[in-house]
Amino acid sequence: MQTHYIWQYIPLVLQILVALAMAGGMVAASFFIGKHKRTKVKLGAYECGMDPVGDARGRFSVKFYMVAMLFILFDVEAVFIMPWAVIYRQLHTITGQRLFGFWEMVVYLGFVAVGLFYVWKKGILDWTNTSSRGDL
Amino acid sequence: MSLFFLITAAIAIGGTLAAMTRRNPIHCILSLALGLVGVAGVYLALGAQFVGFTQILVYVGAVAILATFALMMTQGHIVSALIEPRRAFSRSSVSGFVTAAGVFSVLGWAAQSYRPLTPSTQQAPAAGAKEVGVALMHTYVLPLEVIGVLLTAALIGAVVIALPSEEERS
Amino acid sequence: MSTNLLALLPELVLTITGVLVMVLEPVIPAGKSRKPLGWLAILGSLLSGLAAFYQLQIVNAQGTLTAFYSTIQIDPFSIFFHLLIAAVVLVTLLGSLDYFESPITHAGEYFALVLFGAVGMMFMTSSVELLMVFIGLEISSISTYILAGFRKGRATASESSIKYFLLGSFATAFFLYGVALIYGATGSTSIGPIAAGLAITRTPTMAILAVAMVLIGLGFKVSAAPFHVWTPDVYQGAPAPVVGLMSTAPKAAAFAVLLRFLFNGTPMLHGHWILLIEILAVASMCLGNLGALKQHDVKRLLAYSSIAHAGYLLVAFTGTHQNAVAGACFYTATYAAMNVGAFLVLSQLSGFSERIRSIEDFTGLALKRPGMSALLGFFLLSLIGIPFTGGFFGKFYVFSGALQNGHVWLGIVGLANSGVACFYYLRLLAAIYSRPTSDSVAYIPVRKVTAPAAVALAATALATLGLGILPNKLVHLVERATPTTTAAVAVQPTQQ
Repeated sequence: MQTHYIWQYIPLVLQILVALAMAGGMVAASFFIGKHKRTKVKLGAYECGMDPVGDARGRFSVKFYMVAMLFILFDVEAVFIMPWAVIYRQLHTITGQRLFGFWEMVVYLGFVAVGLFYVWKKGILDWTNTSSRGDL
Repeated sequence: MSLFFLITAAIAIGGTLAAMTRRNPIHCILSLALGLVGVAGVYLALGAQFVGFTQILVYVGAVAILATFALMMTQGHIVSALIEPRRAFSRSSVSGFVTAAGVFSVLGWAAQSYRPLTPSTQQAPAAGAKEVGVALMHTYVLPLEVIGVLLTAALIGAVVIALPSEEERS
Repeated sequence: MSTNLLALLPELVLTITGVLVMVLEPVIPAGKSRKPLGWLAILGSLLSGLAAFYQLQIVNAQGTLTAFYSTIQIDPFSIFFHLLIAAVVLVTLLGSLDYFESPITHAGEYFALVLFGAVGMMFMTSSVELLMVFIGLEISSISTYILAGFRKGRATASESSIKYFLLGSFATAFFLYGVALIYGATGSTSIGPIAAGLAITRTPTMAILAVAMVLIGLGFKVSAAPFHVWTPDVYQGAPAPVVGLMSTAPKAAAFAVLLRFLFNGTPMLHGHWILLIEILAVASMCLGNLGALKQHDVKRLLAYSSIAHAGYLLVAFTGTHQNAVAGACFYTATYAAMNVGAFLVLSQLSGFSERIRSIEDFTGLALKRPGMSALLGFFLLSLIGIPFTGGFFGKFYVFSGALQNGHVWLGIVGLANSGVACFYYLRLLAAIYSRPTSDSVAYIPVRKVTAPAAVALAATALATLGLGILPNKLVHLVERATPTTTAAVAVQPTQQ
């Protein structure tokens, strides 16, 4: 039977639905089964010893931005490796040479490695030592 | 037009519309993420499997997080206070709407009058990870390497923007 | 050496140097001078220029090289632009070696970004695959966005960087949309197959729209009116050596893409895009020159002048294919020489802090800095197009090409604009050579011109003068440069 290719995603949709149902079910079940005794301590902030005061939207360190930025860059780099890995076994027939595809990916990964080295040495990944060069 | 396409297109348009009209920046970012999920769905409906999942991985995953962090770095409440309340018929919104309508009507007209070079009978070929991999290792092997250069330059740029210079520190 | 490596040689040299600079930057301890990295970058750009020369010898002997499944085409056209970009980068690096006053203001990153940007520009000129052109455009754009904001902590620098980034990304999106539409219309993103596809299509509406989109995107990059509004603000806030670079090299690369795309890729639509080019040219010349008339800030004035020069360059596109390529190439070279020179003088005069900005600040400059004033005056005269400077022959070739092809009124508009342009260039020149007002000259701090900067200044001045006295040398090269389309179509691999 000729089926529309979109049906191949049905297992994926089912999995998402099951995940949602499990998470929602757990919250709902504990809400309905558990006892509710609302005391001041229970409704206060968890384990902080301090009542929440003011706006949660304070300024965060620029380090968060750096981490997110690096995440995007390495994420995009990783995305291009995946299709290469999928066809790795057939590379010699596609490129016509035995190791051409391999070395091309080594060069590409070289750029990733150089970027990682640069960021590392610059002290961007270092969150503890404030006297390092990447003093943010 | 399949039902799947209609649903995902509605999510995409609804999400981006909400991203433009919400006042709270956090809501804007979350709506945008929803809109991007819709776009990913459209890609999947068109058979572009790899692009669809990449869209979710990079845009819904990473870019939305970056936007949230960028918002956290600024004084959020000050930013929302600075944004002037939008009026539906301000000069900028009307001119923006007219421009967009013009561009898209011309695009639609071009697409309507378009006749393909060779009448295609079969469905468009699926573009999964395998097909993309073949293209990346054959015709587009140089662009792949040069994307490495591009990302390296972007990395330096991110560091230069984020790290304060000597002058600023003192 | 394999053809693939040979075809990439200049870009390869620059990439390796850029990576070296980038790796060495964090290794050098904080507080140490970054000058050695600058020298390394200079060596790299010099070597890449030599590599382009080597390619020229090969191409002369064996003909056009194509590599990497016909994404790259090395012909005299691309080699000309490779040499030009390498020269501009070399001169910029020499001029900015001593530009950074304190040892650490990300000087190492500055050199690396200049080199990576040059790689992108070079790929733009040698690629015949629009996807590759797009990636090159992105590299060159990202590098210049960051470089524009290098005077960190100043409001104008942030304004410059953010404006350039937001508007530039928007323009790049237009270019990409155009590429997508041309793929829809012809089934290819490669120059040769695009032309072949257009030849047999029955409904070129989508292709016309695609050409318009590409023109919008590249029109922004070359700051052609009406896509020019960012130019004055960005040039004002960016460091002077960077402005010298970004007002010449990326524009040269974008013009190269336009020449290849319009004349080789879409010759079928000549009747459609020639009209758009004419509108862009007239608007750029008029708005650029009229806008410059009322400027007080010298960098803003030169920004409007660069808009006008983009207009003159677009006039070249109205000639026949060969005339257009020759005229545009020659004009790009002369414009690069005189504009980089003018901004080098500015950077040497006012330094990183850029304390002298307005025309009033330049009053009586000749008394205190006679040499620098003479150089700046010479570059301004060349920008006007006075005989015996490169600018004169540039304008001459461009306008004669347009007139020969019957665009008489365009030539008349161009000549009238050259007359208008005299006013503002001469206003600056008159200020420099007038009697100093009470405090204007004392205000100017004297910065010693270091040896590398002197070499850079001399090189730009000699190039401007040489192109004015002996233009034939370059004319012979550029008249050969008309690129041809190779019919080779990349064969898709068989599916396993």
